[in-house]
Amino acid sequence: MTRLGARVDAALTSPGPWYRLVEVQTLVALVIGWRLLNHEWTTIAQRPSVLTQHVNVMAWYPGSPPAWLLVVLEVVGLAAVALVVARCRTRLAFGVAWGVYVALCAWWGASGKVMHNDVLTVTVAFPLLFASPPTRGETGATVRWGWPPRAALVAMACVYFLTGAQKLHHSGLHWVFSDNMSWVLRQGAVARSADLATFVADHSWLAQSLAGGALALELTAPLWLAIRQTRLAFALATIVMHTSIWWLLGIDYSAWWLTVLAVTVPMSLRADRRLWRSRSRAPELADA
Amino acid sequence: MTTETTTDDDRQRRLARRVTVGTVVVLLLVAATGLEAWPLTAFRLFSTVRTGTSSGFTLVAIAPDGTSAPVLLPQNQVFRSTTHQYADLAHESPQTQHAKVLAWLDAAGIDPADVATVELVRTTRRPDPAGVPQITAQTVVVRVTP
Repeated sequence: MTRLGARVDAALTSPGPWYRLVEVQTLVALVIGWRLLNHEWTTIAQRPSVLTQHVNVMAWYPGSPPAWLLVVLEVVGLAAVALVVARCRTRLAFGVAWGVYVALCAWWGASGKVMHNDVLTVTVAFPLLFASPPTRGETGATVRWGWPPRAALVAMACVYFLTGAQKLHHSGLHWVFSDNMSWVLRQGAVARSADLATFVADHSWLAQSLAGGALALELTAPLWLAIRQTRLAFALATIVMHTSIWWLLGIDYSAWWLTVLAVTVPMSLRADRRLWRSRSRAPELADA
Repeated sequence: MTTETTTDDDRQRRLARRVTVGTVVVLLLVAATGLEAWPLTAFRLFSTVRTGTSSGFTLVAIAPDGTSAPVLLPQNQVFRSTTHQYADLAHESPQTQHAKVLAWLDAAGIDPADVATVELVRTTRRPDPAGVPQITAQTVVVRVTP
């Protein structure tokens, strides 16, 4: 193993405090819960089978699911999120919430277009499925609680890097240094921000700066996320990027920046600092 | 440190490496191959360069008296996204074309009995000297009788 590999391995597998895993898993579960509440899932049942195109994890299910099944799954998913927050059967509950979320999003997106709105949350939550969260009464710092939040950070860094790498692979620097962003804005702007989109599109230096900033942020995500002190700055930058996309183009990437916040905010704290203090465990700070 | 703790730490380190490296390898492989099988995706978000020339498809219902009206689908994401299937409609079997067109008419609230034919129209736009997109070509890609 190279020295860099050994350092990465040591950073991934060193012990971590019990509360960091609880914080990250709880916040990611809350993002899943918010997304479960944020959709009218029964719309899926109204889509005729002939217009349903399954090229996803739910391809095994024929046609469109009935409305009652969608409602039951949503309720089960939300109950599972509540159990994660309550730290009751956390591992099982997190798995159920994730599974329900994946199934519903897969059905929602089976209309012929690849939808990326929820894919970051699904991917970042995946390593947390293998975590063994502390039960009530367990404290201290162990390898068991240290690696899952870091693995979630790695998955997040990889996703952002790939979104940038694909732009470079398919378009090169032309993606930045051309009228690309101007035309994206002119062709995709929503009514509420048409004036602002036109203003940006008409000033090529501004449009190219936006494109360059977005590409740079995506490609350098692994660096921002590797360093504790810069994780919060990355989160703020993604909020600016995703909310500007929503404001100008109407595309909802709120699950992306919420997931970034859910992982980076706790992971930007020093190991001996908690994000929140459990009333029942106030004196246990020194454990970590 | 007890032997039990050491054993658990070693087991957790192996699990951490498997899960983390496995996740990264799968993400990279899927991106490299361009596979799209949600939630596995190549993460091609806005990855192509847009130019002033754009094209898109519109479904148009033609009444028996010759009047035409666009087939407007509900604006929710589930139905709106089915318009991405327009591009493949011409390559579908006649039975599938018929079934899909009936489904789109139904979603748009149009009675098929009031429609003589449905046309899939490809529209190309290019910017004029002032930079405003203008329609430069409209082609009927396929006609389906509902």
